Amino acid sequence: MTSIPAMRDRWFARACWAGVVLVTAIAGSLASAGATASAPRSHSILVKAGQYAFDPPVIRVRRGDTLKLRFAASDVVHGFYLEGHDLDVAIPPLSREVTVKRGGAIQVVEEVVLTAARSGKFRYRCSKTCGAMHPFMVGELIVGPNRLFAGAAGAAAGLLFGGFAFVLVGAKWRVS
Amino acid sequence: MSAPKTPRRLDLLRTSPQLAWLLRQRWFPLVIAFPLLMLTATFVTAGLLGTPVGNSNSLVIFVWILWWFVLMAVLVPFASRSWCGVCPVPLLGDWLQRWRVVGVAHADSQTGDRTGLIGRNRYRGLSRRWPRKLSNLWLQNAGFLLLATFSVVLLTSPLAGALAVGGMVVAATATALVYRQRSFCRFLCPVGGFLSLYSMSSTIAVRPRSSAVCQSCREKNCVAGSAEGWGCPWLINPGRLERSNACGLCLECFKTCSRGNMGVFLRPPFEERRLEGWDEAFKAFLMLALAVAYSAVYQGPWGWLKTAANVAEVAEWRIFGLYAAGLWAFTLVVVPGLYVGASWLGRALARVRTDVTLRSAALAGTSSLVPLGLLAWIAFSVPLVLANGSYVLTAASDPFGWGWDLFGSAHIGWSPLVPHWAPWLQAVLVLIGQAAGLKAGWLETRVLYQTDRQAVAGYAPTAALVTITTLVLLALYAG
Repeated sequence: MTSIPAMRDRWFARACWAGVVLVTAIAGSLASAGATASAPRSHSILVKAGQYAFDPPVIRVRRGDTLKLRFAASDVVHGFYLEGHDLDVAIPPLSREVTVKRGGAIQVVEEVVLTAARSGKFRYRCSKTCGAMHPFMVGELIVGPNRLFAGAAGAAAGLLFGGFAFVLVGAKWRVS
Repeated sequence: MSAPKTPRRLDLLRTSPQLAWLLRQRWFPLVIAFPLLMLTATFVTAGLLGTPVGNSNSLVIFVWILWWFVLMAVLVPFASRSWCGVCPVPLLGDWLQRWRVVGVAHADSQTGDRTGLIGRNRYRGLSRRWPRKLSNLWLQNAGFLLLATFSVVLLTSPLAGALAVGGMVVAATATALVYRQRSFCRFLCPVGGFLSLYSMSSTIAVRPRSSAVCQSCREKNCVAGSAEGWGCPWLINPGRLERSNACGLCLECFKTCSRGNMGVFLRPPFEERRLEGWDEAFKAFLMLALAVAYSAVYQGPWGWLKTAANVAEVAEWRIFGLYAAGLWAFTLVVVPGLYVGASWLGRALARVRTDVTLRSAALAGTSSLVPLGLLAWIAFSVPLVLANGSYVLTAASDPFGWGWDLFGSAHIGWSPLVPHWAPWLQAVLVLIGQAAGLKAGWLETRVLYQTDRQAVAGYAPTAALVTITTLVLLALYAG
């Protein structure tokens, strides 16, 4: 049987480890926010869709920036479904006009304007079956500061260093 | 030295006598496996005769999206190798080999006829022993890597998927006619290989309830079989079961044990850690490397990578050759090289002479990759289901893509379910994998060295590499 003091020690060490992970996660998240502060900007982007990739494959903006998106499909009908933004665009080939589904409304337009209101990574996916690898045709809108990634990376570092620190400190406790 | 810890576990059969009764019934788990065989036959037919559009064909949707997610995210973590217990692939081979569907062919002591006897059960077929040199995971490693190399074809072409699933059934049946019991599942099945590895992390384990009872048992029905059940089809001795790897949860030992000594135990996750050979270590390397590679190919934004992997449609064999060579180099050389190198460096930093071999240090360090790899695969599977899960409802109503509407859900279309949650869920899953992996690797490494300081030095390079791998996965999922 494990003695009660030993169990208390173990839970204390675990709590300290969790504390370190929390602190490093928050530190990572805050550092990402502080490092990239700037005024909102506007981006005009032509999104080209072809089997089975978008060009640009990655769009990087900052929270509060405005995106003016135009679309072109090079082969067959493609879609542009932006996760977390209630936006689904049908892009016919050889046409400047696209059909946009947004908030229940359907419009035919040449340009889609949206504000990057939330930070993080949002994949855009083809929403019209376009061929064998259609379900894997994705691109990425990365809205900085990417607190999730920075915080998770901080937590990963905390798990490593916190773990070793408490192993060594724990050994010292046991010796003394 | 502290006394060895008693494993924390809860005997589920003690808390649930109904479960104990159920596991002893001959028709269980066949009652689940048989409908699954019918479903598999339907999916294979859909793959052969149905629409060639992958996301409208039930084989692609049910097998590669639904089954894969349920297997990795639910069954393996919470029910160990229960899939192997109900898997339809070896059923035909079982029936031909046993010449029984439900019952047991038991030796008749009156006639003295020893034809086809293994232990106290009678089998058809050649019943050869599986070669000792191949009694490991190497063939399963090779088989899984081969399938993974052509994964785009398997994932997107219903015909290729049908041939793969059908081919597995044929191979399992043929193996059952030549080799004894579940040799195919144990040593050949590419899926069984990684289920074997990741079952170590499961919260469920089959074990004898009392080792003393097994030691005093003279009948050994669990090995030799009896009138109530077959001798362990997985070619192990259930009475000495200490690892989950080779146990396929077929439940025969629950039926044969006359003392009711087999138990199903609930335990904390990631409790089983020890890897026993390079074949298992390479399985861990392979699975982790493929989780990273698949995440890049299928969930990354890089079109050139998808084009290179998409040999069936693009038919650029030279580019595909480069892709395959890169994938093989990454899985067989780069990842194993980095992790074994880290163990070598750790051993050097710990300044030990001969008492800790590179093999033991590498196996201990590689145990980190079992939880990390499993969680990476679950994380990989999350967006597949969130983004494409609605295809399941469509394919259920129209399994062949012929315009049917069996349940009124054929026309609901593509409806992603909170796909923007995926990066959050993936990040949390990967961090859990890292934490559990670091703990597993540390505990296995600690027993090799005399002091904590030596063990920290010995494990530090591997732990750093585990963290770098975690960061790579986080970058792919959330970066």
